[in-house]
Amino acid sequence: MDEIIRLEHIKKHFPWKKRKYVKAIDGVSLSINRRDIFGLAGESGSGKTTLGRVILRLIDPTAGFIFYEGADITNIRVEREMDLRRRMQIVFQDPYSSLHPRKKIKYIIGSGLRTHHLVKNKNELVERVEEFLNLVGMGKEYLYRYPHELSGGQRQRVAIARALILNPGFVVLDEPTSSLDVSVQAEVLNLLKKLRENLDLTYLFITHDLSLARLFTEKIAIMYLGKITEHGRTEDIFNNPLHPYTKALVSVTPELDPKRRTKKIILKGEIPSPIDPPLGCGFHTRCIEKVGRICEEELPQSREAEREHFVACHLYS
Amino acid sequence: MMPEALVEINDLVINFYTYRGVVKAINGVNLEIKKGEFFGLVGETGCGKSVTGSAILNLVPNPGRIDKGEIIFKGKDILSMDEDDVRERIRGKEITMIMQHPIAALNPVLKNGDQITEALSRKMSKGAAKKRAIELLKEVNIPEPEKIANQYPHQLSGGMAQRVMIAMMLATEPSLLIADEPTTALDVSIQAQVLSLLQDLIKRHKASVLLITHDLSIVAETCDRVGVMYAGDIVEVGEVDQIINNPRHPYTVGLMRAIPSDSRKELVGIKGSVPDLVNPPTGCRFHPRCEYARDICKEEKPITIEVEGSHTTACFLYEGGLRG
Repeated sequence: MDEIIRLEHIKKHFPWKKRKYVKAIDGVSLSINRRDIFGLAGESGSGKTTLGRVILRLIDPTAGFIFYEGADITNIRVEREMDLRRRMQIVFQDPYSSLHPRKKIKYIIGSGLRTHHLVKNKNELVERVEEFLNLVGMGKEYLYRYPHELSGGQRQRVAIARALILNPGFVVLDEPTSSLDVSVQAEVLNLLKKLRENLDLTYLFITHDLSLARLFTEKIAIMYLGKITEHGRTEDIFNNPLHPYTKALVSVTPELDPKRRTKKIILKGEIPSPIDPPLGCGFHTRCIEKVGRICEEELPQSREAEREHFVACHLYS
Repeated sequence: MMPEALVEINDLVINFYTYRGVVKAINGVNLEIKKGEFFGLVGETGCGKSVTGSAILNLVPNPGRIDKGEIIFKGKDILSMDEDDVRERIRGKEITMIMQHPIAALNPVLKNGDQITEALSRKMSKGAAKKRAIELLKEVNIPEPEKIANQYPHQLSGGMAQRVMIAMMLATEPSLLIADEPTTALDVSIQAQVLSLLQDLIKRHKASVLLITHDLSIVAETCDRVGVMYAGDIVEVGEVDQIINNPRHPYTVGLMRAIPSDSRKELVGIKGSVPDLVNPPTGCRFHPRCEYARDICKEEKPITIEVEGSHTTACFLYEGGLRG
């Protein structure tokens, strides 16, 4: 196992009024291997974006440890932080707000090179930017354009080039295609897949769209209310979902092919507030397979129910 | 027996007069929505699906103008009706609309119950209207309807607000409900709740629904018939099964290949991007991105032809039975 990221008991509690906390992440342990496309899926408010940012150390966790290539980076010293920033990059969801509107594409893609002193002079900078524009399927005619002159798909390609030009090992893709049209989304995803092969990248792919996660990822973790309910190989999770939440989620994901459609499990109610999450298993208020009192009282631990397939549910303990 | 048409859109042309030039948003659309059916209108951003929906209520936003066409609703042309008449009898009564962002669509200073009674107050007494509002809230599966009726929209979650919106739209017993991306802002588990609720209610109230969405998988699961739009044109119309199992127009085929599905290992995008409708391509508007494009596609706009039963498409490939 060649592990690149390991999380141990990560918590992130944001202070709320009157000594209350929004428990965005509440005890997550996870390990991501090199060259994986690891999916993080869940509904809004499940904590998936917060977790992505905690891993990149864009926000500090309240508790727990983050390891990058075996080294603890939870409390990394300032001198080493620069180097870490170069090796871990992110592509944001909305390419309309994540690119500087008054700077040209050359500046947007190249500024990281300058910050990290990776080029000696201007010519080299332009050369590298050109190279990466080509890599994401855009020509050098875009070097001196502004973001507003580009379409959504092209902007997202620029954001990808900006992340990759620093030669990172690990990239967080936070819903990279959710603001794009389907015909464009397909091309951006195919590009990301190709780049992973060519540049030896590891992706953490954050998404709310399970059909996309199924197609794009190799491993996946499903989040609910700040906790991971189930994780394992994407294939196993979709072919044989174990957690009642995953079962419901998989069943309600709209499916184009009528032959592949299964009976829908429609969940009652909505995701509870992360300020006062339910005791015991966070899902017990909506669960249709509740075992009994234990679900309301005891937090289910993550267990390996099948080979490399982990689930946190009292049904399997 | 074929159910009769509830709405008939004939040769609708809508242009937006902007400072950049005239945006030719809707390019001669013909469409028919039958009584009691769930009709899905799909297409990507900027294809004109929402504008078509608002045209049915004669509510095309500025600087848009309906330059041509008619919309026959129950035998009368909405577009040539008196504006007072439309407001009095059609808009919000016979035809209602639910939007993508329910919390923005509800009046923030009115209690949820009052939003619903507002539409009823002309027909019945205050007390009766209030009772009816509670009934409607119950019908859309809102827990504790009395309590919710006394709260304000900002206290609701997105899914709840969308239910209140649906209850409000059903209050006047409409015969057509236009739902413009009703679940795009919602999570999948909530989306499933709202869509199945919508299906139930439509059957019970014997209304028709025009579901406007960008998501073909949702249409595949909920609708009876589908229309596919591209750059202001309806390119293909048919029963859901016909479109999903046997798409004919190259754009629909491309769209299907780009959508993740269990039965697909790889996605294929459509080359190029949506054209600027200030200077739309000549002939068939899809020809610059179409792999089957021939000379005629650049010169003439294809007419809509029947390929199989009620399945129609506007593409030169099928004229004279060239293919299929």
